Amino acid sequence: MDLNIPNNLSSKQDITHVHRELRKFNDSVMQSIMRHDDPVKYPPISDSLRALAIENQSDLRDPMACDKLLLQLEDLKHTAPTVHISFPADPSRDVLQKLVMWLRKEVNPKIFIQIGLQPTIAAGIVLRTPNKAFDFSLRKHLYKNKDKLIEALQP
Amino acid sequence: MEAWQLALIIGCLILLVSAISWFVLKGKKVDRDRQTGKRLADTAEKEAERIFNDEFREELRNRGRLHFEKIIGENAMFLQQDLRLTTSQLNDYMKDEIKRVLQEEFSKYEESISNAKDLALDTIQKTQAVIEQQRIVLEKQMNDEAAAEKARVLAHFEKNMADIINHYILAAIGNEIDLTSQLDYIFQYLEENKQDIIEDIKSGS
Repeated sequence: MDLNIPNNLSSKQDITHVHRELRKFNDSVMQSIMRHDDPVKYPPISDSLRALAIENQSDLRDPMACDKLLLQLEDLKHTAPTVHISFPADPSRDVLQKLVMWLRKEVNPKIFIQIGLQPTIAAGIVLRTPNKAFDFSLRKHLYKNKDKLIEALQP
Repeated sequence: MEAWQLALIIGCLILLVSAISWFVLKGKKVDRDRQTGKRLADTAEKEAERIFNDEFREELRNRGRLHFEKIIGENAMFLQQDLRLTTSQLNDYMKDEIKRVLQEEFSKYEESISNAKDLALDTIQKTQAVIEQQRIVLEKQMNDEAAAEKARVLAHFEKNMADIINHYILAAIGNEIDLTSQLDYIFQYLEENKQDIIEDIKSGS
C-alpha cells in the first residue's frame, strides 16, 4: 500500500524530521514495553507525524505499524521526486501547502519541493525539475511581453 | 769744240743775261707799285677818317642799336609765340601721355583687380564647395552615428527593459510581496506547463 503524504510535509527535510521523530517514538515505546511500564508511555508527537499517521490510518501504538511506516518513509526519502521552487520571499505555510497539494494532485502524489529564495524575480516563482527550469517569474513575463512594452513606450 | 756746242753755250749765256735783266727790271717795278699802294692806303685812311667821324659813327651805332633792338624784339616775340605754342603743345602732349599712361595703368590695375577678384571668387567658391561637401559628409556621419547610437541605446534598453522594469517593481514593492495574491497566476502557468513538468519528472526519476 502506497504511503499517503499529508500536505504539510512538503520537503524531504520534513520527511527526515518525521522519520527521525517516528524512530525515536518507536524506540521510546519499545523501551517502555520492555520496561513493562503500565500503562505504556507514549511520548508526545508532532502535528506532522500525527497527520502522517492519520493520513495513512496507522496506529502508532502498534510497533509493527511503526516499523512499516519507518520503512516507507526511508524508501520515500530515496525515491520521491523533488522539484526546486524559487520564491521572491519566504512563502507562507498556506501558499506552500497549496502548491504541494496541486503538485501531488496533478503531477506526482509523492512529490516534494525544495524551497529557494531569489529576491530578483520580484513576483512569481521559478520551478526547476531534474532537467528543466520553468520560469514563471514577473521578469520572464515581462520578457515575453517585451513587444507590448515597446509598443506602449512608443510616442 | 764744235759749232753747235759753242752756239749752245752762247745761247745759254744770253738767256742767263736776259733773265737777270728781267729780274732787275721787275724788282724796280715792284718797288714802285709798293710805294703807290702805300700812298693810296694813306689817302684812303685819311678819307675814311674824314667820312667816318665820331658823329657818323655814333649815328651808325644808334641805328644799329635800334635795328638790333627791333630784331631782338621781333625775335623775342617770335620766340615767345613759339615758346607758348611749344608749351601748349607740350602740355597737350603731356596731358595725352599722362592720360594714356594712366589709362593703361588703370586698365592694368583694373585687370589685375578683376583677375584677383575672379581668383578670390573662384577660391571662395571652391572653398565653399569643399566646406559644403565636408558639411554634408559630417552631417551624414553625425546622422549615422546618432542613428547608430540611438539604435544601440534602444536595443540596449529593449534588451534590458524587462530587467529594468523588474528592478523598479522590486524596488517599489520590496518586502511587501504577497505570494497568496500571485497563486492564481502561478497555478495558471503550472497548468500550462503541467505536461512538461510531469514528463521531465518521469524521465528524471
